Amino acid sequence: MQRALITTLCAMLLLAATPSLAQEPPPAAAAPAESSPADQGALSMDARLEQLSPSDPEAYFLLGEEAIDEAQLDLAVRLFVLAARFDGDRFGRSACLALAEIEKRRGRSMEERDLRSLAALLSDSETVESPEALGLKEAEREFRRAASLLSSMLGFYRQGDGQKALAALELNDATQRLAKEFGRSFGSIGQIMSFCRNYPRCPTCRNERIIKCPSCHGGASPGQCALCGGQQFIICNICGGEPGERIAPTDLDSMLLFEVALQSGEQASWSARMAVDQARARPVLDLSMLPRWYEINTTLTVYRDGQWTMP
Amino acid sequence: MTPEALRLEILGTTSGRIGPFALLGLTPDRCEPHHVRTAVDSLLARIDARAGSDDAAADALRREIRAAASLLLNAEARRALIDDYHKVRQSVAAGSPAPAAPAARAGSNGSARTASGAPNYPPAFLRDLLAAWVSAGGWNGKARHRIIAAGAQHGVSGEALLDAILTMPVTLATPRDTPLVGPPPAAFAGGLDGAPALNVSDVLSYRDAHEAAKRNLFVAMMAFLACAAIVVPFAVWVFFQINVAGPKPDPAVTAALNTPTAPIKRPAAPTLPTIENENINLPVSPLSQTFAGVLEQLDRDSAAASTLDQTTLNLFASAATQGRKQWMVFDGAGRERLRDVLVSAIYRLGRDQASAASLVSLLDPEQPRWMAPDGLTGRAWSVGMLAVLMREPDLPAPVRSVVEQHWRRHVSTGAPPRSGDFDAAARFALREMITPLVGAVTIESGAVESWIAWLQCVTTVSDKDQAEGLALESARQLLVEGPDLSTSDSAGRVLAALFSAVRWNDSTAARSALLAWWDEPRISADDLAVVSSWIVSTGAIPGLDDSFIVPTDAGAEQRAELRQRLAEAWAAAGQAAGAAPARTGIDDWIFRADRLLTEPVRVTPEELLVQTINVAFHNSAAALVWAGRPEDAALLLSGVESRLADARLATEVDPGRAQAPIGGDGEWAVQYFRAAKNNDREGMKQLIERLPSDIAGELGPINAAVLADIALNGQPRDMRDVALDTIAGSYASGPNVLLALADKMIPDRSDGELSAAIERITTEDLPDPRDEQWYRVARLALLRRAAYLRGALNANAVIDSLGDLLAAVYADRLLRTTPSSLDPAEAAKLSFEQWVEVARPMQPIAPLPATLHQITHRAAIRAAVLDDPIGRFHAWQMATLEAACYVTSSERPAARQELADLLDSTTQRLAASRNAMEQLLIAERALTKVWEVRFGQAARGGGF
Ligand SMILES: [Zn+2]
Ligand SMILES: [Zn+2]
Repeated sequence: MQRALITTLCAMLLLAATPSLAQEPPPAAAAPAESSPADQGALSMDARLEQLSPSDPEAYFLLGEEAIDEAQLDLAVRLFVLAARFDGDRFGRSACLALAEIEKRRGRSMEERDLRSLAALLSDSETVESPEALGLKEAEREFRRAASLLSSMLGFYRQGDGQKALAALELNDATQRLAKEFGRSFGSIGQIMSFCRNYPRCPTCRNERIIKCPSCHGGASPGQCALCGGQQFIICNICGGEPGERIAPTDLDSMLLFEVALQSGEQASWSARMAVDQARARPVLDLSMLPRWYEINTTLTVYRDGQWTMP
Repeated sequence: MTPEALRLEILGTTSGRIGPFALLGLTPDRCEPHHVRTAVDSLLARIDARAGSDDAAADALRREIRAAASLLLNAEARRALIDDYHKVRQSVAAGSPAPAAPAARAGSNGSARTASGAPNYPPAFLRDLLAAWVSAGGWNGKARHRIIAAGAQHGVSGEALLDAILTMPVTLATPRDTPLVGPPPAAFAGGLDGAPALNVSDVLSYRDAHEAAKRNLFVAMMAFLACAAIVVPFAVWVFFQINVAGPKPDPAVTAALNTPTAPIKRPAAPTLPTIENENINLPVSPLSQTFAGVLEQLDRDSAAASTLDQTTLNLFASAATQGRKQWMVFDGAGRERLRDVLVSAIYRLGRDQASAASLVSLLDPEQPRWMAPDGLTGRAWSVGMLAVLMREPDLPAPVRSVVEQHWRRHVSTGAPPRSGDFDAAARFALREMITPLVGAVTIESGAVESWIAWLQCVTTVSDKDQAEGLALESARQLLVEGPDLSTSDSAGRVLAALFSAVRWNDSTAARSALLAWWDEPRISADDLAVVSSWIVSTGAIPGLDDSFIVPTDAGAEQRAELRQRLAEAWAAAGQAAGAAPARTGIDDWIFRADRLLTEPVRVTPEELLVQTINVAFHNSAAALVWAGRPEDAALLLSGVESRLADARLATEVDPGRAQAPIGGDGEWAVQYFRAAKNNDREGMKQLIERLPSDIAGELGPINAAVLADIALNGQPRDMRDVALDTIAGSYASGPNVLLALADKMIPDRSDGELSAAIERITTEDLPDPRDEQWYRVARLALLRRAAYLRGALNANAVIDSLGDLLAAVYADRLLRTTPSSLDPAEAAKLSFEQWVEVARPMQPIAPLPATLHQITHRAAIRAAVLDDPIGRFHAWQMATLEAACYVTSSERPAARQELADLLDSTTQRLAASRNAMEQLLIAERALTKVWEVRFGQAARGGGF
């Protein structure tokens, strides 16, 4: 499954405009040492990892929480995934919530949403959270907003208005994700953006498309100016009245289909949706999916000599 | 004082299953009448001393004691009891387990018994016994005569007759808790050669149980029958009557036998004592001479008169009034004649507004009490006549407008009937009456007569299928919304009347409707008990005996089991008649399903979707087979290939790419700029307004961009409105213009004019322009329209038509009517909800994969996460799968592990899949496997 949880986003194209996502925010509190028991606080993380054994899944989970506090998010992820793997009934739901928290810190709202949903699916209480309470609606709104922004940006690009296009696209996790989807279908958004940077607008008509006759400067009377034929105005001789990049009709069709399908959400037609994602598999919300999502080999359960190995 | 405590105190035991000897403290040696009387007196005195006279437990015990005494006071019964007592003693001595006390059973030698020991009276005799009771209205002299007559007719001896009356509750009714029929209690095995024994307290507890259940007349009658205190003396009375009469039949008996109207041959529906079928199928006859004369006169007068005079109007009124009242009793020719004369008269006389109004209002008068029998008959006729008039092409204008007015009054709700067809329109009117009439059953006792009239109308204007359909629809609504049948006598009578229009054994509609009632949680077990009692007692469906009667406390599992028996009974009947039995339907289905499941998985999305649809067809067929409709299932499957082919063909259609823009793009823009530079407002305005007459339909990109610019940012401001108006009015089908408008829109800048114009162009509803969503929604609407006009949305249209087919297939498995076109996800959701309805009454100990609440919640979450159309379908498809597992594992807990493994492996396969269409296929195949499990269980015999 091509989950984008761990795999790099398509940041390469957007890198220039993107604040680095790899940088973790500093831990909210610099208090991990205080919160851990005194005797263990003295031990290094490596030493404590070596003490772990699959027979005590709780220890993995607790150490995972400490790893979050120490901003070792990848390590925390592995510990939570293992804890959930060893005892899904006890730690499955908590692990999902903890992982969701990590994804929130990483700014990956979609992953956070999936994990929270999975946690909700695992809830055994009768009063389970509503989709709203899970932030699904929030994520949905964010996604729609991003789709709308991307579409606006493409619209301005189509109109040859590079400056507005660049201003319209606010780069965040959601728009990058969409840009990646777009890249799958049409080639890169990055190219479009660099075109826009080089072409803020037609330098001659400033996207008015019609300019004062450069020959008679708009002063000709009928029949007198050879260039404008007395019309005083002509179609911009630089952009030909169509500023911006020429887009082949089929590309334009694909682009429109993409925008419409993305923004229509569940109202889109199946074919439109397929044009967007080529019928890529849908995520399977199931606890057994965690190792797969994070590409963690759960047979490597113990930590020896700085490595995860089989016991 | 609790019943147990009282029994312990008085009888020395808490057992409820003790015979008359133990109850009265007597033995076969000491059971002469004076012993019995002494024992009864002393027991009753002790009860009086212990409990208040109003104590229900004490009352029950008193009745039990009196009943035991009546048995022992009868010489015949006593002999039989003594016989049994000794038999049980012997079996105890032989080491077999024995009942706690001998059981009462009369006439052990008198009647034939089958090898298995069940009383084996001619079934017709038992029915006649019942009928005698029903037609006589209770245990009275009339019943006695008829019962004796029935006995004589069937050659049943006096002793056997007594036996029959005493065991009637055993033979004809299902006890609530204690199984009197079916496998005998273990304690009886071998003892009494397996015969189901009647014991006094059983009878009484049975009676009490039913009294408590307060069922309908039929069940109440069974309870009444079961009351030994009444039955026994009555039986004895009958017995003596026979003895007294000797070999020579009583004259009363002969009379009863020879009375041709005695309803002994076939019992009337017990819930239907006053409604005879003849009343519903009215005898029709030609028009009476007088009425034919009236019509003749009207026809002549209206032809002669140039305007409407009072005499003709009176004639018309008389014809219309009589027609409204009596149209159902006229034969076809008579009805047609009436119709023709009235329509011709209206043609001739309705030339002015006043005449038209008075004529039409005679056909369709105001009716404050339309629900009265006369009223609804008239209303059905009125609507039929209006429909006929609606279709008349050359009706004078005044009449037409009045007719339309009246028509609209009747067809304001629901889908209007085809105009022109009297019968169809009348049926429409009758269908509209169902809901109010069902409501009337609750509150009005006169509703029964209205229902009879309604049925008479229905049978007059319908063929058998249509009448049956309406009757079934009414019956269902009555069961779901009407009063409890046990408390409402009229509801029972209405139901029985409706049933008379149903062909239980020959119509698939009736079968599926009846089966669906067993699945319908809103129909209570109490009501099903009445329905099943009716079916059994009338023999409406062959092969069902009293064990089919639904217990009032039946849970979902039991309902499912009885439902299965119903389907099997039909299958067996069909087999006897040479039709394909249901079991063959199942085998055939499993054979095909196995083949589908082993097909290799395809590669392209389109091929995968086709494969999924194929499997989905089989799952819908499974639902039909399960509902006892194997023919419909076969029909559905036979259409798979052609429907798939149609779906693939339907994609050839092009939405009509908008015409290419006219050459000379930009000339108009140049002129506009020039006018603007000269500040020539009038010129600018005219240029915009005249643009469509120069360049119609679509503009080139330059003109389009300039026009869109004007519409969004034009100066002076009133140019914007002119431009918007031009776009909305003339370029709503021009993708260049619409795309330019969409792409030039700026967030946070909206106005009402722009919003209204976009609504006009796209015919979509937009949020308020001040709403923060407005920009996104409005722009999307324009983009969608532009993309559509460019044909861009057509890129992979075969997927859409296949998706629609998938939705249709899902809709096919819903055993109720659905909207004609459904979004696939909606259809899957409905399918899920149908499973939930089946599942809701079930109470599995270990629900799989989760509680119903959780399954529903998970479905909602999945649908929210997978918020695209394919994903949403998949979410509800998975929910359907889970609900199907829930239902199947509840029906058959033994299959729980099998289903759990199936769900697990499905999850792993879904996760391993790279293609959404393949995921749909995986889920659909899993559902097929669940159906296989469900059928596998049914195939193992329904029960254990
Ligand atoms: Zn230019
Ligand atoms: Zn010039």
